[in-house]
This record gives sequence, C-alpha cells and structure tokens, in this order.
Amino acid sequence: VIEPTFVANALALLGVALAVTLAAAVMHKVLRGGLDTRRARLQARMRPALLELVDGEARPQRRFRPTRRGERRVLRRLAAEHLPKVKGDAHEALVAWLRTEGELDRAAGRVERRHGVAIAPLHRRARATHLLGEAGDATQVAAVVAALTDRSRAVQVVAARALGGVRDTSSAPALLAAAAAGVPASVVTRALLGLAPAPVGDLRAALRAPDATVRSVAADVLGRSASRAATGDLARTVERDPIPFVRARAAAALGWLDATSAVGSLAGALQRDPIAAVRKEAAISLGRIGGADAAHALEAGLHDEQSDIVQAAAEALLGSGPAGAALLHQYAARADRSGAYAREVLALAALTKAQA
Amino acid sequence: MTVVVDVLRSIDVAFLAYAAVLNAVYLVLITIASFDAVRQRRSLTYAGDVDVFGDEAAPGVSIVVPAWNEEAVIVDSVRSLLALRYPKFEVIVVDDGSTDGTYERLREAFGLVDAPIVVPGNVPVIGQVHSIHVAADGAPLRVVRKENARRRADATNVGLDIARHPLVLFVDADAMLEPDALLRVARPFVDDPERVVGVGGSVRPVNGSRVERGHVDQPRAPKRWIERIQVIEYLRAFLLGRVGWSRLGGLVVISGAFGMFRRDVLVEIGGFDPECIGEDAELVVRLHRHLRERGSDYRFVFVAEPVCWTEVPPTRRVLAHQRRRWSLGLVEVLWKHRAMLGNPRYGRIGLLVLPYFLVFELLGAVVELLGAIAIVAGFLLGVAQVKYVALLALVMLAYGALLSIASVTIEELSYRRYTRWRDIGIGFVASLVENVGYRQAHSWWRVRGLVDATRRRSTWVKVPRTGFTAGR
Repeated sequence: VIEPTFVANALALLGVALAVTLAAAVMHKVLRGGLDTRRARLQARMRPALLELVDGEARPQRRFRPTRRGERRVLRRLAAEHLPKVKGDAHEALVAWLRTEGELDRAAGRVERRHGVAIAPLHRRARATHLLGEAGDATQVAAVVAALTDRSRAVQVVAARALGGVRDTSSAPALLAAAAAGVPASVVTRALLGLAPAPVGDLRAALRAPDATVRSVAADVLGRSASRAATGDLARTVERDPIPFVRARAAAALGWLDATSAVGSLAGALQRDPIAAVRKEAAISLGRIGGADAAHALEAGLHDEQSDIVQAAAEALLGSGPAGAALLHQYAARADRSGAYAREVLALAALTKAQA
Repeated sequence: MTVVVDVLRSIDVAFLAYAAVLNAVYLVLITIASFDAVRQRRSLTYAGDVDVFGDEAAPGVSIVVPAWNEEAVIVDSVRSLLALRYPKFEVIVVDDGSTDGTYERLREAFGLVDAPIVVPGNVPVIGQVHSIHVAADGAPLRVVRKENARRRADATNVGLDIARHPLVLFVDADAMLEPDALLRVARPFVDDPERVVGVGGSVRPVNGSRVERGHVDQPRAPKRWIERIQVIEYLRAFLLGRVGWSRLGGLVVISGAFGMFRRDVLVEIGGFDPECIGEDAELVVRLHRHLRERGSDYRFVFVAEPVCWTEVPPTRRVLAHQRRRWSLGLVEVLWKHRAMLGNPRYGRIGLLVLPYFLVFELLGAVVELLGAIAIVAGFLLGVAQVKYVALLALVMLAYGALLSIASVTIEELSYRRYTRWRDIGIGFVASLVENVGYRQAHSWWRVRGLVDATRRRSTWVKVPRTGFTAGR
C-alpha cells in the first residue's frame, strides 16, 4: 500500500528525531552540570561579599570585591535570593545595594510592557516581579500592579504575591480586580492579608461586588485580619448572599472575628441554610465565639441531617465553654447519632488532656 | 487466492491507518507535555506552591491508606506520612483483615488505644468494621480494623467514610511521598476550590533507589531490566500521557496509589465501586459522568511535580498478573460506562477520551497481534516482501523508542530526579530494549486480560514488599 521508499524515509526521519531527542538530553545534562558547577563555585567565592553587604557595607570591600562582570551578576543574584531570608537592617542593606546596582530598575523594565506587550520572556518577568516584591519597594508598586494584568497567569500570581510583600494598601483594589480576573483567590487573599494597614474600606465595599470570588476574598480577609468594623456587613452576607461559598466564607470570618453580636446570624445559618458547607462553617464559628448563647444555638447542629454538621457542632460545643461542655455531657448519654458524636468528642478530648 | 490477498491488503491499510492515528495522538501528547514540563518547572520557583503551609485556612486532608498484610512496610510508611509538611491532616490506616502483624506493628510503634470514633455510614461498605484506634501520643493517626471483603475498594471506602477533612488523599501502604507532596497536590484545590474535584500526582518506581527513614534519598535505576523498563513505562505514562490529557481536559485516570479528591463529591457518588477491578479509573470516569449529568463546572488536574515512590513488580509472573488485571479493569470501566462512549452529552470525555481508550489502549494489543498474524500469513502466501515488512517493523519500533526517549528527556530537562549519568544512560538503553520482547509480552498479557474479561475471571498477586531499608 505504501511505497518501501516512503517507509525508508519515515525511518530515516525517526532516526533523526531519536538522535535529536537523545542529544538534547545529553547536551542539557552536560551544559547544566557545567553551569551548576560554575555557578556554585562563583557563589562560594561571592558569599563573603554578600555577608559584607548584609552587614551594611555600602559596597563589598577588600579582596571580596567582585571585579568581573560575571561575578557582579552572581552577587546580584545571591543578594536577590537572600532577600526573603533576612529582615530589618540586613534587608534594607541588600535592597539599597541592589538599587545602586540598578537591579530594581532593570526588574521594573522587564515587567514593563511596550504598546501593551511584555517583551521579556516569561521566567524573567516572573523573576523580576518576584524581586520587586521581595525588595518591598513602594516606588515600584505601579510596575508590580501592572504585572497583575500580564498575559501569563504565572506572572499574575507572582505579582499578587509580590504585592503582599510590598504591603502598600493602595494596591488593594487592583488585587481584588485580579481575583475577579482569575488569579487564584487564595493567592489574592494572602496578598491582601499582607497589606498594612488592612484595607478595610475597600474590603467592605468588595462585599457588595458583582463577582462572587471577590466577595468571598473580601469576607475571608476581613475575618482573618480581625476587622471588627465589618461584623455587620459580614452578618448580612451570611444571611443574604446568593452564592453558598460566599456565605460560608462570611460565616467563617465571623468566627475569626470572635463576633458575639453575630451569634444570631450564625444560629440562623446553622438552622436554616440549605447548604451543608455553610451550616458547618456556622457551627465552627459559633464554637470559636463561645458562650451560653452560642452553645444554645449549637444544639440545633446536633440534630442536623448531615453527620459532618453533627460532628462539627459537637466539637464546637466542647470548645464553646462550660455551658457547651455541660450540654455535650448530657447528649453523651443518648443512644442516637448526636450521642455517639458527643462520646467521640469527649473521649478524644480526654485523651488529649491525658497527653498534656 | 485473490480474495485472501485483498483481505491481507485491507488489514495492511487498516493497520497503517490505525498506527498513523495513534502516533499522531502520541505526537500531540509529547508536544503538550514538553511545553508543560518546561512551563511548570520555570514557574515553580516563584509560584509559591508551598505558601499553603503557612495558611491556617488551608483545607484539611485525610490520607487514607488501605493495608492488607503490610507488616514489612507499614510503620515506616505511616511515619513518613506523618512527617509530611501540611498545616492540617490526618492519616487513616485501614487494616483490611490482615493475617500478618500489620496491626501489632502499628500498635507497638504508635501506642494505639481504642476510641469510640463514629462510622457515619455515608459510604456503603461490605466488610464490617471491628474497631477504631487512635495514637496515644496525639499523632493524627487513626487505625481501622475491618473484616476483609477481598476488595481493596472496600477498605478505601471505609477510610473515606471516617475521613473528617474536606480533601481525601488515597495512597498505597508502600508509598513514599516527597515531603512537600501534600502541599503541591493540594494547591489546585486551594487555588480553585469550587471547580477542582480531583488531582493526581506522579507515581514512580522506587525499586533500586536509596531509601533513608521512609524517604527516597537518591533515586536510582533498578538492577533488573524488568524493573528498569517499568521505570520508563511510568515516566511515559505520567510525564507524557497524564500531563497531555490533563491539559486537554481529558484526564480519566488518577492513580489509586496517589490521588486526591474532594470528599463531599466522593461521598455523593458512594465512593469506589468495590465490584470493579480498576476501581481508581472507574471512580474518575463515574465522577465525570455524574458531574456532566449534573451540569457542573469542574476540573481534574494532574501535577507532575509531587512524586509518590512505590514498589513495582520485580518478577515477570507478578508483572503479568498485574497487567492482566489492568486490562481486565479497563474492560470493566468501558463496559460499565458504555453509554458515555461517543455520546456528545459527555463532551470530550465521551467523544474523544473514552473512544481513545477503547480503540488504542484496550484493542491496541489485539491489533498488534492481528498485525503479526497478517505478516506471517503474508509471508506464507508470498504476498509480503521481507524488506518492506522489516522496514515497517523498524518504523514502529523506532517510534516506540522515540516516545520513551522523549519521556526520559523531559525528565532530564525539567524534573531531574535522576542525577547520575548511569541512570540516564540506563533509561535510554531501557527505552530501546523494551521494544524487543517486553513490548510483545506486554501485548500478550493485555490480550489475556481481555480473555479474562470475557470469562469474568480475575486473579490478584500481591507485589512482594521488600521493606524500606536503606540503600536497597
């Protein structure tokens, strides 16, 4: 059916492909090995210079001073890599040296786009964005914020993480917009938690944003940054938001806030919300808030149709204080499912106590 | 005579067309995997994959370990799991009616005590649960002792039933996870909690590697060729197959040796099917079916970077049994979900992925066998030219070798677990060697699995455990 010549050509082509693939692996191993060895040697030579920089020397002194171009590059790389590992004066010293070396400007240039197009390759853009974040340089916030709209999701993620490092509150709206554009909510949440002071106004406004992810991020950050001023907004979100995972996040946030004034909203969610995840978060939060009212509300959870909620309510009762613990002991005598979970929770607590 | 020649020609054409389509699919998978490997590798440094470690709101993970007669490895395995880096997790060992000292080893090592843990009964199970124990030292360990129901899936279902965290990871009792494995495999759930339903990680053979305290200290090529070839098979399956299908949105296999799922969705569909031999593949296909029918927006993800090291069969006999079972399992999955085949309601899973598995993964061995028979018949009838057949066979072998060498190259360019020249060299040689003898034997085992399926017969031979000894 097929001419033997064609098959022979195909075989030759495959032979070439095999040789190229094999050569790629071998070359990579050889080159990579050589590069790694050279870099390790240079890094070892430059490490004393780095220590001098960390100690606050304006520039490396004496015999450690890098003279060749390659050595300076390695020292810059080393300094950049050490930024997340040092704090205070040492951090400032490294940032100051990188600035005088023009490394931060170069990084900003790599992140920058010309006519809307990023010129530098992806991994360089990512590294530059990361450096700007680790440097925590407020003057470069605009460049990092711009990277939030980079065409690569990987760079967007690095930019969000970087903004958390810069800690400039003015970047909050851009971060929330990034969450709406698809940057993972968890990354944006961690970045927003890094901002100081917490952008409470922006976050409260974001609880009314049209995008559900933005609302959930806002709820989460408000709770974990202990923004008590937002208790009312979060309670309303638990009661009225149409999206279950937003309600669940808001319920969890109220627990983080230790918001006693929100016990009513959480009790309502535990009793009436049709979604199990929301009821579970409400139970956990009631346990965190604690007190007699919370314990009374949690009793409803012990009769929930879902075993997960019964278990969460039992655990929450134990953690809610004397009233909850007493109620749990009462339930432990029962033969039904709530009794079984009460006994489980009490037994595990006794074991923990014995270990202590 | 002319009729026979015409038939042989038709087989020839069909065989060539089949090979062309299959090789085109492989080419697409190689291309996708190559780009993905480089992209993943480069973005990993700054992606903050391990940020989850410091996140108090990270979802908890229940690690379920079904164990049957695993006394040689179980303590080291549990110690290694308990040492994983993750903010919140528990280890649930389900002792599936072991007749050796599996439970006793655990009791001695962790000082297990009885605890009135509730079995909610949310997932149907067959074997009765006898007792549940917790670690006296406060380690997040639960050990369930249950009656053996002669089905691994039943043990995993019991683990799923008593799991308390929102994510469940299933691992084999002899599995060794890398310290950051949980952080990396949970990352897609953290990033996209509403849509991601399941995540699979890479599994690689540990045979021959240097192991220290339940961790692979230095990955090395095994000593026997049968194990070395399996290393190549695993690289090809995970670095090319799974990565490629995952990017195409068609991941239907998440290994039971290392797969993480959302617990609520698993409970909703009743967990694993204990009647199915390929229960891990069946679970993922059933999840696809359930979620498509419900109209959910969902994702399955494969992440190549976290690695789970596991023992692979060191002998031909055990390997043959294993592959027959896999073939039988695939028949079961495709038969059970035949309504999905070619059905546009199930999107690319129904129209592309399952037909691919039917035509190429399941029937591939039969086609290879038919091809060989046609060649012999052609020679006997004097219609096949030796040179032509030899060239064609060489093309097939070279393509097979190219796929394997590509997977070794991707490993070297991106993940670089094997650092010694010797191991890379062995990988290349094994890529060539497997095409002569092993590949044909493998096809034969798969055909026998198909025959088993028609007789509804299954056999199971346990992979012998050597224990996690240093420098094995």
